[in-house]
Amino acid sequence: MLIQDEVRRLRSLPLFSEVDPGRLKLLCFTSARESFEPGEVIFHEGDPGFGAYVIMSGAVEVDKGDQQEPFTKAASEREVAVVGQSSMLAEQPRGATVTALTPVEALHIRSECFFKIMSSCPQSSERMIRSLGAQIHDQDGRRRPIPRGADPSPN
Amino acid sequence: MEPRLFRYIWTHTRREQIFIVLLIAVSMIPFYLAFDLPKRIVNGPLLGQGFDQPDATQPFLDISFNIPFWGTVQLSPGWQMERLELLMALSFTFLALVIINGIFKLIINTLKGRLGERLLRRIRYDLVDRILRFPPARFRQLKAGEVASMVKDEIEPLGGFSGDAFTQPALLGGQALTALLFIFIQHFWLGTVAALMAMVQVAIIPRMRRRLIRLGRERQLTARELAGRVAEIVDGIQTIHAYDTTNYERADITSRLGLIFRIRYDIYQWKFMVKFLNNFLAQVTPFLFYSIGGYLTITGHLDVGQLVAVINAYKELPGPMKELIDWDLARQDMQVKYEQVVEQFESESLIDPARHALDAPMPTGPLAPLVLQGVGVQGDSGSAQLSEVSLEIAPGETVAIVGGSSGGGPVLGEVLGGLVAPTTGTLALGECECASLPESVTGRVIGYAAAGGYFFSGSALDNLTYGLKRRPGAEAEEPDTGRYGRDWRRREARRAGNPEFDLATDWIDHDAVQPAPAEDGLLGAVCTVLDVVELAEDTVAFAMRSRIDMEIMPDATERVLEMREALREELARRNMSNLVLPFEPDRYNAEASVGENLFFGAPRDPDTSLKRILQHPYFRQSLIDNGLAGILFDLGRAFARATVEIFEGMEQNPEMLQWLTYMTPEELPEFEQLLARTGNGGYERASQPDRQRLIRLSFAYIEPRYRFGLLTDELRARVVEGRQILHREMPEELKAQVQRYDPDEYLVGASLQENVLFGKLNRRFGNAEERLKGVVRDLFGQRPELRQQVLSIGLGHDVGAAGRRLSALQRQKLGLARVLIRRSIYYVMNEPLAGADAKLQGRMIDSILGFLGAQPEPPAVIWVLANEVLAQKFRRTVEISGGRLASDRVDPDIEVDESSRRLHAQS
Repeated sequence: MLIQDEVRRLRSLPLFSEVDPGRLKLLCFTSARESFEPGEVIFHEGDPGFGAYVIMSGAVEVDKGDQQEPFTKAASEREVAVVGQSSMLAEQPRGATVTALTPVEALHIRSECFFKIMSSCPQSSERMIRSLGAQIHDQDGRRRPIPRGADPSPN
Repeated sequence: MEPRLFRYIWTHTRREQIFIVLLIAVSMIPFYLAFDLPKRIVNGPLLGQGFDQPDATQPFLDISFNIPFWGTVQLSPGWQMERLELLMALSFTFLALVIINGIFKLIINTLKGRLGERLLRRIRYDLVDRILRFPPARFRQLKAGEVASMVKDEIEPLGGFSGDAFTQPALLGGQALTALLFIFIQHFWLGTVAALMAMVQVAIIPRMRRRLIRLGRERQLTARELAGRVAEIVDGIQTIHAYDTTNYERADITSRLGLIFRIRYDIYQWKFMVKFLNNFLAQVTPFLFYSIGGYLTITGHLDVGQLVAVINAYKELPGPMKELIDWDLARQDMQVKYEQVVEQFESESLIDPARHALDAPMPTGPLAPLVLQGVGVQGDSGSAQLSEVSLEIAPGETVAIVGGSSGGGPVLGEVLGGLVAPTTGTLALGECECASLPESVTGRVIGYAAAGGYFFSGSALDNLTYGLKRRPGAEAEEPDTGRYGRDWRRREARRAGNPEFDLATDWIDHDAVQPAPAEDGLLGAVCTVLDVVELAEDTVAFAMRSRIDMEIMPDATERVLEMREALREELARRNMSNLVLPFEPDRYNAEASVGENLFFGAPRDPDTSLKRILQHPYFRQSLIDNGLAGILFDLGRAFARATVEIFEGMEQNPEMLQWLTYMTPEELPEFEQLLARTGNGGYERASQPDRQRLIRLSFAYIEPRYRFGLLTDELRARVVEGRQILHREMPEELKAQVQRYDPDEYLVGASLQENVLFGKLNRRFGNAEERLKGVVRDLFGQRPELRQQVLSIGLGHDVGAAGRRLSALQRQKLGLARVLIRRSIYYVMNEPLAGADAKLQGRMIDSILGFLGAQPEPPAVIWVLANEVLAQKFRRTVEISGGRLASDRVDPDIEVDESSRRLHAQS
């Protein structure tokens, strides 16, 4: 899959739907493509988080331990899924264990690059905050909201 | 140390000095004979004196003396010779004398030089020996740079001078007196005038030079301070940068240099002034001869022959006089230098050499328990840091010392470690007071580790085993070969008063190694200790990054190939062969760049980059010949276009441009222009530099990393084909620089990691690096011998000056490892992990207590803690508050049960 396709598919995510395409391309450029076999763990709950994984193809299981029943996230022809997003945004350890259910193709977005690119483009970040707000609004009542702001841990 | 230089020189070089003076005396005979000969050649055979008749002969080598009141004594009549014969005979005698004189001079100078060098060696050793014996408190004021400058530079001229110290005045004084005597014989009054003038010279010049000596002393002090400051700048460079005080330091150095310049300039002015006066006085005497002697001659009181003889004789006087005065100056200068240095190395309370002696007697009684009796320590400011502390600690106990850093715990740790001597009270091992015990006992019985422990430049292994290097090991089986073999080294060391220790022997005390070495020897013990202090992973990382020096580890090749093989097998066993994409001769390696795929080899010398080799004309020609040039040009163009598109408008964001690794930010607009330039016509019409630039850019392309979709299967095949051609016809000079990838060969210029992987990590695998680390960890678990080999390579890592190439935590861990590998009865840990987080400290305390508790004879562990919570890991807790013993509790829950400790150690 080429970088152009990655950009196109990333735009299907609410998080990136309004972001300037040029920035999105740069984000893809700095991200790495990784693949996982069924049963392989992408990350464990409690691991330090260094970014998010955008699932380009395949399905993963998200297990939040005692908090919630495990559920599945999958990418389809038209849409991609994202895991590790909240840990990247909040700069906190992983809140769940994510395991590949089928062969998975993912784009590993590094938090450092994500934040630098977003802070360089006020319009993009403004639109992103809006879409995040909408997301929280949707989730309110259903789930605990994503923790607000960064709470830098001492380490 | 002997404060008077001459006494020092005389004491240590007396025999050689006398021998040299005697040799000089003997050498005078041929010297004067050679003086006399030219006159005889000129007068005899040349001018024909005594050859008035055609067949007249003259004696050659007739030896006779004129003894006053006795007459002539003839020892040998010699041979009678004709004029030409005599000329030849005398000429050859002259040649022989020249050679003999030269040889004498050679021998005398060599002897003098040797004497001087030996003395220099002795004094330098004496000084360093004193540094090693200074009381610890002395080092608070000492500047390393100043001391080093004294030992190295200030004392250096002494070597040259000591050879002349006695011989020069003897020789020159003799010459001057002879010349003076000769003048006296010619004419009494003129002789008196010459003698008077010489006396004036000898009296005045040294007086004037006193100022020079004072200035010399100032010069020495300021230069020494400069050396100290320069060393301080180097040591404190981080602080200087942190506070932006480089200009302040510049100003400081400038003012010092200014002062040194002023002093040196002063010295020059005065020195040449004195020189002028000296020359003047030397020339006044002939003036007196000409004027007074001339007057006497004209008035008939003196005949011309006598006056000429006196003037001729006087020519011999100023030379030796001048040199004698120079010698005197050097003498005073040296004396001052010597005093200045020796003064700095004087100390009232130097450690008794017996405490350092190798054969110091071991006390007979038991060295337990460790007893502090009413110990008090007074700080520099006079306040009491510790007072009336009494404690008894037996081997096997675990003691935490708490009470905060101002309480006095760290000071107590320093007292226990022997770094600070108690002002009052005593520290004793059983019945013996520590102060009277030799360091070989206290140093071995008590192991001490603190956060700021020093590391010496050298390998990690050198530093780790430093505490074991207490005495020279058994003689190395080195044949005494060559001129400078072992016997020579010993003899010379003895002659210069140095000890005969041989650095080349194995200094490691294998009996003191802890844990007691099993069949894997010292390395096994080292690896165990590295695991205890959690330094093994770092060491593996050092090894992986390092390039193995084949001269130090000639058998490494085989071991590395074995590792390469083992990793390949392990990956295959786990069905993860694809995690590393190996270099295969006829396949394109997806994770390697186009350049690496084409080049398919590693430079033998790590300093020459691939790029430079690729610039070789052979490569260029080869690319053109096989048609790759055009293809790569297009690839480079596409790559550049894609890059420019992504980074368009990012010029204002340097943070983002840093992600662009294959070109510099400045190159970005250049490539933009280049793209426009090469728009039509492509390769054929592009200029040579443009072609080169784009082709070189294409070398950096890696499809899975950049995902621009620029590589086709056909292109890959062409690159592989190009690779074969390149290597097939490569000229010899390039073959010497490039090593083709071969799975059965060690890559000389590559790091251990590159060698073991022999391929590229496949980043398509999620968490590829972590996975590889996991595989390697498992592999090491299965095959500990491989791990040991890697660790042994990692232990060769150079820690840098003062261990600066290690992180602070690595240094602290290495410091702990250094104390743990040596068996002691008491371990004093003085906040050895200061600054580390509590979790890590707790883990380390557990593993160290477990390790030490599992030893056959568990030692006492005394741990000064900043974090009181950790004290619960120890059986006994001693609280020091305000310098006094506040409490001393034993936690009965923690048993001194060895079996449980053993279990603990294994977990």
